[in-house]
Amino acid sequence: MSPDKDVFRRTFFLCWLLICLFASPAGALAVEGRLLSDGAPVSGGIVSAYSNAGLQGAPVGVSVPSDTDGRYTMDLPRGRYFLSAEWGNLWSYCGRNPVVVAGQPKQWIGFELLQWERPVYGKLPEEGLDGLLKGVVTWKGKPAGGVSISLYLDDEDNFRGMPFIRSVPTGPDGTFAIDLVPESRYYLVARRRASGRTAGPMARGDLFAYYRYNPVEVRGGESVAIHIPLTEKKRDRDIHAIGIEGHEPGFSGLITDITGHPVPGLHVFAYLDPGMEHHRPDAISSLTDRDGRYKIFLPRSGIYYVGARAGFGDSPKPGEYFGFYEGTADHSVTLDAGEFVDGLNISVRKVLAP
Amino acid sequence: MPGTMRLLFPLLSMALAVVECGVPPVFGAVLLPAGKIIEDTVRWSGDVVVDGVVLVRDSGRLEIDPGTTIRFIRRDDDGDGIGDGEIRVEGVIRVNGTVKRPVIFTSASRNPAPADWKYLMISHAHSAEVSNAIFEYAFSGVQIHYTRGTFRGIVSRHNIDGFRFSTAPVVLENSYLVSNDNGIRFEERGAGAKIVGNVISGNRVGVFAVIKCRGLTEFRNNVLEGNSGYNVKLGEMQTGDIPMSGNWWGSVNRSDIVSSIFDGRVEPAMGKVVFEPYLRKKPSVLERWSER
Repeated sequence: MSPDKDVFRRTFFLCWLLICLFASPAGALAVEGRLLSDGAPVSGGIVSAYSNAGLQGAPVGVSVPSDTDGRYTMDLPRGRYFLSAEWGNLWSYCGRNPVVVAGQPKQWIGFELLQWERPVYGKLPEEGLDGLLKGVVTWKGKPAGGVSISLYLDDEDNFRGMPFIRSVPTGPDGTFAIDLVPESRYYLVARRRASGRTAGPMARGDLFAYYRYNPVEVRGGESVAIHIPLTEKKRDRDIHAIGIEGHEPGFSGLITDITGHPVPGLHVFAYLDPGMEHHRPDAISSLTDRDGRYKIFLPRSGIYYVGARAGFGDSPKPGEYFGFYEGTADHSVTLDAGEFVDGLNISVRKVLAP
Repeated sequence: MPGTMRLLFPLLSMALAVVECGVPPVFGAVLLPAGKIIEDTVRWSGDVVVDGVVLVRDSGRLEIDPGTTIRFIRRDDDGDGIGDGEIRVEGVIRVNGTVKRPVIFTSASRNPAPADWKYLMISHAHSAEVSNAIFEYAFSGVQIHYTRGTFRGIVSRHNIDGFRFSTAPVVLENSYLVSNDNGIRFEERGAGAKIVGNVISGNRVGVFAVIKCRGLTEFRNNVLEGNSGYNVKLGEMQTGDIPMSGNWWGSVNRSDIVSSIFDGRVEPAMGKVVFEPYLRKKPSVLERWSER
């Protein structure tokens, strides 16, 4: 080998090494946090990342086991993930799911691991095609009242929107019983919103649980009893505000009232169906900030029909801020894959204001 | 092709197309194609034929002169069994009919039927004032939501819903709702309306209070009789009572009136129609409309 070639090879190797060391490959970005149970660190626990809300299939990422202080780290490429943490019979579903890794600084995601029990099946007095789903919901080991249990047939909408069945809220004894449940497999999510609403983002202090042994099989002529321990939502987090700019389509803009003043605290809603008021929105924006600014990410490219309002679910109420995007006659916005547009401003007024 | 045939063939084709659509030829009518958008003030008069959706935008204002006839071409591109023709108002609408020269919203079909066109939809609009107008052969003659509106002297007939509203403090007076599936269909949702001095008769259901009504709406001096199913029906989720005293129910016999109402007396989970005290004599309202 000639000296020139040798110099070239050494230089090339050095450059490759530098690239490996300093130019982090696209998306080798980290999540870190701490695993706790009853306030004590959990050592040796694992955090897993899935591509679907129902945690089906093999995880697409797994953390190193947590250390003696319960700390873990996990590298994940750019994307949306659903995280859960596990140690033995202790388990937790991340209340911030989906977690978006999009180039931001390392995210801190803590888990409070709880004890879970498998469903217990029994025979009903009469055979039939329907089953009985019953159980108890607890918070810090005590029965929790006012909790609704939602049954979803699939995880396509990340357990948002209208469930297939929603129980009436639990009483003070924390029990629930849903009879005549058609034979199927259901994903169970329990929620108690301090606001009393049945829809909308969860807020700090609300209680929730994603049942560990989802999907639960309901069999005709059988009862299935479950215990659902709840977790407290530790902080407000506008899940709708998070997207991967440059990769996911979306838009942003300003919401003002008829006098031109910014209106904070509203959501922008985007629908794929033009009859927008009769459907669940396909995307919801972050709450407008004090300057009236919002940002929304869409599930895919296409034509979206856009409006803004203060409320969530049901139809707008008298006195509620409401408005359509008036940049087009049919209130639509067309976005290509990965396209993000700023400047979609919306004027709102109060419903039935004189 | 001989020269005469070259000239006649397109004309014959056009004539056949008209016959196939069931649309009688309208000489001198203004044809509004699908997707007509009104952004400023527009005035309609004479004969207007609507083919598709006419949208009155937030900035728009539609004024309709006395004696105007608006005919909707029956088309059902989305295959839902309801004609696609509609006027959708997000701005302002003024329908300025008179008793002698009402404004008519009707089907353009030779053999018209309910749901030939969709509706006059007024939703999140600035205001609506409608006087002396006839709505017929629509899915809903009028639908009004999230908007204040006044409707006086209207006739709504041969529709699925004659007059439908929600979250809308409307005034409906001296009007005639007949031969619809539902004469009036409404959901208060926090906004009370005023329904006074109307004839609501010959429908399957006279008044259908679907849900979320809290007794905010005033029903007074109306004629509620001769509806084949019920004079008043509550939706199964309507748990609050509906005050409807001071109306004529086609009888002075209490049990006759009770039997014409579907409410909590039939399904205990529902609210009840509070119809007492009721009128003992039919008010003399609107007989003139029955002659139309």
